[in-house]
Amino acid sequence: MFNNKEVLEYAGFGKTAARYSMYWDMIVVAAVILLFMAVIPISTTLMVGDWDFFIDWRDRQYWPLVFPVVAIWYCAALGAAFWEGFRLPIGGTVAAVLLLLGFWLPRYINWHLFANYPFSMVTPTQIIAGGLMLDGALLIFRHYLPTAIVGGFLFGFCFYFANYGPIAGFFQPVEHQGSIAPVADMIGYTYVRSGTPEYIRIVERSTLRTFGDTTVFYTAAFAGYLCILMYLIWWKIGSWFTQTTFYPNASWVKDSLGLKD
Amino acid sequence: MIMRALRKIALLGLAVLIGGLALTVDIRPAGAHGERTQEPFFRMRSMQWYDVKWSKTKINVNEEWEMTAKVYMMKDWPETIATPDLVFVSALMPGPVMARVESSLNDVPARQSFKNLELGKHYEYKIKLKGRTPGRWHVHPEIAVHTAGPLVGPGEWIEVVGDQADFVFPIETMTGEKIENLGTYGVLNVGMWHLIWLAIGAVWLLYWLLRPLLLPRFIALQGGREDLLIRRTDVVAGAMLFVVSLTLVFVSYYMGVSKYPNRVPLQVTVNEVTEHIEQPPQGIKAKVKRATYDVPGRALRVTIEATNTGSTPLQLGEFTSSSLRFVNMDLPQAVANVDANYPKDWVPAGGLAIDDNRPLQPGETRIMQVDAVDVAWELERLTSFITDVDARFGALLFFYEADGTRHITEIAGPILPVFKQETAAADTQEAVDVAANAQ
Repeated sequence: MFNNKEVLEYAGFGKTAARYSMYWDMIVVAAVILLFMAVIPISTTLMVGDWDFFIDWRDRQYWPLVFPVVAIWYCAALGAAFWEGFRLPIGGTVAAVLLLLGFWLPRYINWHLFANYPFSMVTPTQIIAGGLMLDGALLIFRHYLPTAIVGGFLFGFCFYFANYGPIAGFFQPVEHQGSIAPVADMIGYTYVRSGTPEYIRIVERSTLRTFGDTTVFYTAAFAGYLCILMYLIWWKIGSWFTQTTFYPNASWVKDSLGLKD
Repeated sequence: MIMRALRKIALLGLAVLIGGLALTVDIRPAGAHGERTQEPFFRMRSMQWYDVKWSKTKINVNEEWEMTAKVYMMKDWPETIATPDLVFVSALMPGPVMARVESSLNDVPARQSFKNLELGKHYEYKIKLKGRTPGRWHVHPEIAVHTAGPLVGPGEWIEVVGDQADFVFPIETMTGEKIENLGTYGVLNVGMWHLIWLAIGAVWLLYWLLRPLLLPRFIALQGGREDLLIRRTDVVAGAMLFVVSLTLVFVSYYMGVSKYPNRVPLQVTVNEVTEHIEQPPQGIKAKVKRATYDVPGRALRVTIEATNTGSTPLQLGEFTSSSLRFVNMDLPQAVANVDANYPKDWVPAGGLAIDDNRPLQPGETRIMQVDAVDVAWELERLTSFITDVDARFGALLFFYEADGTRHITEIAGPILPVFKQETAAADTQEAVDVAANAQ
């Protein structure tokens, strides 16, 4: 199934070299996992904030817009790093998987066990669907530009639909004190978040009201377009930061080290 | 050398043991009295809470209890914080140790925020809570003001006994679904879908990771042998991945919305209080002539000019600010207004000292010297006005008729610190004399 032998032969790796190369791969994989499982969730959390933390912030306007536009950054940057250096179409999936694992751990340990919030209130969001589509598109098109247009757009557009299905039950209506509320609102109301500023959620503001129930499609489309732009920018950032380059030593350095030209 | 190495290992082991033990210590009991970090002007000049009642102080897990209070929006609201144009009715406690069942402001349900609370008005606060986490928790009534922060009333220790594992919060939806426990609802479904996506992601990653990964691929790419790295099989696999992912997205969405066809979005309504509660009688007018804080004496001393504008004699019974209640212990009506179970922390034992305790007759204006003396001013960190940008205080005065009818009025004014004990008494007397002469 895999042409490992051919690749190793071309690279000139014998059995021993291949084994040590594998050890090196394992070290790098472990380092990538540890580093990015911390960096990606922290960075995303700082930018997205409460829209991702709490079930009663999963609206149809800001959540489907803010989250994918921020979450695509590392998918693009890692995509560039893995593709341009090694032709590995795994950047989107790596970022998405590590983001989800990096979200589940602190949600369970910090928010649920330590801060005592119920888990139904703090379930995380996934972008693996979008990451897989990005990688698939990169493999098909073999270039970042059409990947951005097709994969990037779908990453943003599909985010809401990929995450809404599992939480649809949280939007069933409940009557409370004579008014209607979804189950998500009831969870947010029941489990007290005190000591915060007036807990006004930034959900569903502005004139998108005109579009009624179709708000989410416009938001998803807008998110898709923004994701195209973000993918391009962050691909370039990832590419720039992982370029290999060589700087010649200055002559005085060589002299001081006793190196000859 | 071996001994040195063994010593190092032993020290390291001890450090790990201590660190591990430290992780087992429950640090949550540190959750009380956070309101003391707020500036004095914030607490004294914004809202004044009174008539606070806690229906129970010891409850079981799942047992309901109620907290009620009245709260007055000071007309002298500080300029440095946002006015109560957008507020949320809540309760202050260390995290969700209680579950909120119901809440209201002037009997208007308070699940959503309120807008445009009026300064100079009294409001009625009610909240029903349910015990969730065993422990001893300090619970305050709270109204959180948008961009300003939480403004809280006095707190009381509520003990919750039982096991949190027994806590349930059942709810029934309007579509007839009975949710057994709101705290665990939907978690398994979300977890299942996340596992599905993780599994697909893992398969895709393993498809690439189970090959020579970095160095051989780098060398091959540098040599222009991309054909070795990306084969037709891989492209087909990528295309299938793309299609499968896209399809699964819409399958999961369809499964969710078809299982729950009747859904509502998150609600953003903002309530408004359209009817005010009966406001307390206003048969008294009071203004601050001079206010000082005697630092060594721990006393807030206020010279007040009070005018009885009503038709019955009134006596000053209570001075309250930032939930501290200085009660005139010589006035039975005022003492009767303090519930026997009211937390003692908030009712300084020394009470309120008034130079002239006679009833104020209808139409009479009198200069009164009122002293509120207690270490509570320092404990509550209300003396930090000395280093604050806003050296101004606010309070409510409760005057009583003979039958116990209460007249409530607001006072506010600048406050000066007095640093030396010998000048404190002289300063007070001077203030009284100056005010009397001005009259």
